[in-house]
Amino acid sequence: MYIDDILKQFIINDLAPELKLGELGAEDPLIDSGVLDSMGIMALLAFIESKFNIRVSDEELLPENFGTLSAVTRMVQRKLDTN
Amino acid sequence: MDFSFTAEQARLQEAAAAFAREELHAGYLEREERGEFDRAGWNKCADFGIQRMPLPRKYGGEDRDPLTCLLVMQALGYGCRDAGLLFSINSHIWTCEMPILHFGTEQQKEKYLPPLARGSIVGGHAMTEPGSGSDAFSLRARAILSGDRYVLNGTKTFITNAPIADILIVFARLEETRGLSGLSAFIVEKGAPGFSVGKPFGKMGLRTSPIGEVVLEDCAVPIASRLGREGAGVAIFNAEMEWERGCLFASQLGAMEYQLERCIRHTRGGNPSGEESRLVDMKMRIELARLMLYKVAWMKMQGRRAPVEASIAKLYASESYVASSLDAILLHGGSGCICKTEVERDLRDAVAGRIYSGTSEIQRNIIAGWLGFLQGGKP
Repeated sequence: MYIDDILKQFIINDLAPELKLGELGAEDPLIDSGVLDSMGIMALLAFIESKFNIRVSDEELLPENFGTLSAVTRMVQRKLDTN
Repeated sequence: MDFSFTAEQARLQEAAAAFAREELHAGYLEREERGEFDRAGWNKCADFGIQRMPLPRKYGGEDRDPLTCLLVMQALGYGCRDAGLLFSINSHIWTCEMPILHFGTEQQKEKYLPPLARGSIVGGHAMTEPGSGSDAFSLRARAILSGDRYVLNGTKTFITNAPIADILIVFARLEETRGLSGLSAFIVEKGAPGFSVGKPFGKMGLRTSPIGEVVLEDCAVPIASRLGREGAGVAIFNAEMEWERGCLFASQLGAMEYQLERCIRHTRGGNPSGEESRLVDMKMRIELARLMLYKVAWMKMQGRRAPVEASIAKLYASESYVASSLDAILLHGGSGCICKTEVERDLRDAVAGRIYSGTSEIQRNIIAGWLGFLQGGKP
């Protein structure tokens, strides 16, 4: 599975069960739409760190890294590339 | 696993307990009755090095690791009866110094951290609003970028240190943003135009810690006073709360240790029949709270985030302190209810611990979220 598929599946299964797989686009807002609230961000963060074995610092918990599925995917990819 | 401390940690903990016992008591009962902050005690703590403990040396700090800081806070809780003073100091360190250290620009660090470390200025943060207590992120305070300034409007309440603070980290949502993405933090100095603070609230406990309301009316602050990037508010607040939940409650742990010793002395001096089980419960609460708080410190020392562990530690320590304070009163019988015996005060100080830094219910929500029960409750 690709990174974005893994993330999408987690978001839909665990954070936004009201959404269907096809309803979450790569550029759809996650935070402004309420798909991710403060606890959702922290849960997604824990999932990312555990699943991809990477660390995300407090300073990186920004909308530009968590605002959309593609933003989260880019951040994860960037970290995997530098590891 | 290694549960031992270094010689320096043990020395420092002992020194802090002795310092608290010898230097922070004079006039306490009168101040508690008047609800008066102990500025002289604050200054003594600064001279001892409390306020500068976790900060790097380049900003006037002592570069102490999280476990050492926690051990010192525990020792202060054990030696000092003025829980309000300790509450103010903890707020100053964990909700003002640490966010500036972790999220501030070099200019902000150089400007604010040395005087915060010396205790010559007092800090705090302003998040809670009249309509957003537990749901902190639903705040209504707004920030509008206007030229080279942000203009802040809103009302904050239950703000620790507000009546005595020289700077507060104020959380507000940027205009034109929705959800959490616009939540940002600003360092606001006392005396900024449009910034005003109400009188300290009278409280049932922690009476010597000044807590009050903050009003922002077209309060204009320079762009350079924004802490972190626009939208960094969630990150800043979450990081703050982890530190506070881990370290502030170490002071309660120390207070519980002192409380148990006192109850043991009292029980041994009288008829202990049937009361030993209360003492056993008090001891178990102390030991379990200690393990959880130390684990949070250990995780922070590994550079790891510890949101769930900090929530568990906070929840358990705060609820334990309330339960043990009630046990202490019952162990003392009628005298436990008399103010001058100083037994009942622990309960008054303990109750708010179930509310500040996120209520017990909020902590349970955070933990439940980690168990897979988020929002819609889907595991």
